[in-house]
Amino acid sequence: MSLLTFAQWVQSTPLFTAIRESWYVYPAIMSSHLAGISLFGGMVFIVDLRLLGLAMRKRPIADVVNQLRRLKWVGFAIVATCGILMLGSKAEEYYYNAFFRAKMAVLALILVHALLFRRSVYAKAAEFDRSGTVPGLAKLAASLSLVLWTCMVICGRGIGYIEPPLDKLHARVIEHLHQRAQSADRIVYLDTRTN
Amino acid sequence: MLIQNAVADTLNNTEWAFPLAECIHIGGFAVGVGSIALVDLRLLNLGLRQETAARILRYTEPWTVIAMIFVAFSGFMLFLSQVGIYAINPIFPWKMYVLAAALIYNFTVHRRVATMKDAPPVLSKFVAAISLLLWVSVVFGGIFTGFLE
Repeated sequence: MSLLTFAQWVQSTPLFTAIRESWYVYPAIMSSHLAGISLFGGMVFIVDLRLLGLAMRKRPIADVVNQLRRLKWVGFAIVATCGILMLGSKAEEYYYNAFFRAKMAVLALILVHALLFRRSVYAKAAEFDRSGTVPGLAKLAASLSLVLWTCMVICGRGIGYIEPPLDKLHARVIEHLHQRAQSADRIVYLDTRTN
Repeated sequence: MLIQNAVADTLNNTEWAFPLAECIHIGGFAVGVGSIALVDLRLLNLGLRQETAARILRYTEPWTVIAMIFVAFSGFMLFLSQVGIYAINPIFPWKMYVLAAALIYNFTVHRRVATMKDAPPVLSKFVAAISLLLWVSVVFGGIFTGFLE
């Protein structure tokens, strides 16, 4: 099974079909995705700025980092769930979308960032407080995090700017045939009535 | 008329200008609303429990205000680029009403309660819930504005 046929199968499942066919569910999920970004993005921003010494300077780094850790995961879970629902409902369109692919690449980099710096930076916040200095590595991690999340927003917005290749879309073809069949039925029905 | 203006010319005729303004708008409200949400989560007793809400407000408010300036400026640019479309959009005016309510609420009731000493927990939680509801509604309004062209 190729990735494309997998995408077609995913979006044809009842849940994702229902999301796609409702006029308000998709925008509602997208709104939740963005509302989640605003909750979660603010936390990432504050933690990174604290490491860079630009915000909440009088508070211990460990306090800021540790107290927001769980909330950041909750926020990420909300954003990711909404993202998966949007992806699943239009999987075939996303398959052709270059910005979506770029966004997934950035997401992969964010995971690498988390794996790389979790132990060396985020787990050592209390040490930075004791020594009174933030090492260059921690500032690098914070700066990279800000850059990566900004790229996520840019790629996310970019997705909406790429028109799906309508001639290639499987779902559209089926929809079109369905509509044609329906209008053909109506004509037959009208004919029998007039007779 | 307003429909034809210098901003509209630039945003509609430069390929990257409109998306750039949108990205600034989104990045800005992520920071602006996110920093307000940090205060709300404290009021709801869900996050940053070792700080007082008043302290969090003091630390985050400059970022809230800076971010809001970016959001308002980029939003106004987006508006100017397609005044005609926004003028007939059924959702857009509601987004503006809720935004006005959210802004007034944020700098009056919300700030008063967040900086109050010994505010009753019920009041704090209620005020925080209303704040989150207002800001989330503004985000929903923005997306639905785009979907109901």
